[in-house]
Amino acid sequence: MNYSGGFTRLINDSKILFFVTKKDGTILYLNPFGQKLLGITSKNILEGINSIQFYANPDDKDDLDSILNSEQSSFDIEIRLLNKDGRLITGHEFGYIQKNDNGEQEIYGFINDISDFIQLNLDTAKLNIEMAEANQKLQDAYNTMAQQEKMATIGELAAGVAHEINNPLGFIKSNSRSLKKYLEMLTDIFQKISNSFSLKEIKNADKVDFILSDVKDVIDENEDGLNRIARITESLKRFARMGDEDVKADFDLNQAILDTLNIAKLQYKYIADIKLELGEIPMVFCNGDSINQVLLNLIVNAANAIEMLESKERGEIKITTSLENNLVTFSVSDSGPGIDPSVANKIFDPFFTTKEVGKGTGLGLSLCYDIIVQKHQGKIWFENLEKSGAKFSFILPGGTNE
Amino acid sequence: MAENIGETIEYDGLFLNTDTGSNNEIKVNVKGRLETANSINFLNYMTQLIDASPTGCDLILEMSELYYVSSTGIGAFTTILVNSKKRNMQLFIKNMQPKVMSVLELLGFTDFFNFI
Repeated sequence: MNYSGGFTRLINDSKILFFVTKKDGTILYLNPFGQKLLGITSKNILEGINSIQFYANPDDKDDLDSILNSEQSSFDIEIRLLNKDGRLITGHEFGYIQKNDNGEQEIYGFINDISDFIQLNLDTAKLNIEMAEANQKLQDAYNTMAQQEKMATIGELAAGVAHEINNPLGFIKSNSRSLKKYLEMLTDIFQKISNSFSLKEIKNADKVDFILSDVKDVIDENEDGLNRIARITESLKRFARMGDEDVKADFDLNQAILDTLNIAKLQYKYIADIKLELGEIPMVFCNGDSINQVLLNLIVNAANAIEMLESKERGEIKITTSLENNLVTFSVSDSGPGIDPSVANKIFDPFFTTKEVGKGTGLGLSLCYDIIVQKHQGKIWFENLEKSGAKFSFILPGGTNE
Repeated sequence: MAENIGETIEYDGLFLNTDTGSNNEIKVNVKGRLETANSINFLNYMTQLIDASPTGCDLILEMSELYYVSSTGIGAFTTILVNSKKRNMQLFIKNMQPKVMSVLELLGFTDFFNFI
């Protein structure tokens, strides 16, 4: 059987570049498709045109030379060519090396033009990089806004904190005046003693018993007030700390709830009573700063929800913690109007808010979602309560570090 | 992957060796030829390394002895870059051979990478 006729037709009609070159790159044969692809003619070939001039990267010739100088009789490489019009062609080249009758090396091969396939892949790769960069910028912007949201919340809380500090400061100041007066009275009494009044006479006239018993009460009250101020400033300091969001450590969730209630007191004290049902839970391994932010957002949201009701009756905010299936669960429920079911699927979206313009940024719940779900692989959800109000809950998985 | 740290692994003419080094830096020595046939091995190796590395660290590809990169290899570089960005890692390409660099230039990829 003679197949050469079939192969000749295949080479002449195919969409693959077939070639024969000398070792130095001089083209001896190029099929019609190859001539069209490179933009040359049979005349150019007769004139001894060299294939090296089509290499987009002249260094590729070194690769070919090293193959020709080795023991290899064939090669399979990717090559980039520039045709006469300057178009970049990426080709998959297979070559076979053999010696002619004069003992000179000749290369027989074909190049399949894979430019479109490669270009598509490279375009996709570029798009992926650009998307990754855009995502990174978006994440940076989100982090900045999240921090701004945190600082804005602290700003809103500042008035409440000032109020809470002002109250004990008022009686500490008043007590200081009393103490000063008592000191003046005691000084006067000692003066009288030194002037030889009888002790009984002095005691009756100058209320010594009262002074001595009240001084202790006044000092105790001052100490209590100073402790209240210290507690609230410590709570605020802990909350406002800009720590590393990736660092996790053992965290006392129940204490954090008490801290949060401490600094957010003015947000709820005139509109709602707090009902605490804090269960016996272990320390939670988490990022405390972030979880503080979640607690504050959920508790302030609960207070805001109650405030939205037209009724002037005091509402209730119920906070519970528990351990279920070795997972620490938190929930806060309010007696507000509940969540409109038509917006239920948007509630954790960034920039979604039901608060009046200027009051909410719409980042609070989205931040909670990000912190609980993305950063702690936990779960956060809400449900409308049967009577009225909403309940927000979260679970921190693998919570304990024990 | 972690058990291979420090060992040289060969994938059909491509040699990879990882040094976890210090100062939050991971260095991978990439030697030989990165071709269509071994690009997927290179990508798998790097993906596992990135997943096992701490977020935010520097990833350095030392390429002074990498002599050839096919377009599939460049595709692998771009996927490595995207994966490292997802883990907030900085990718640096060190000592790339001019011959290999010219392939990246030809295909318009030099702007995306940090070369040192």
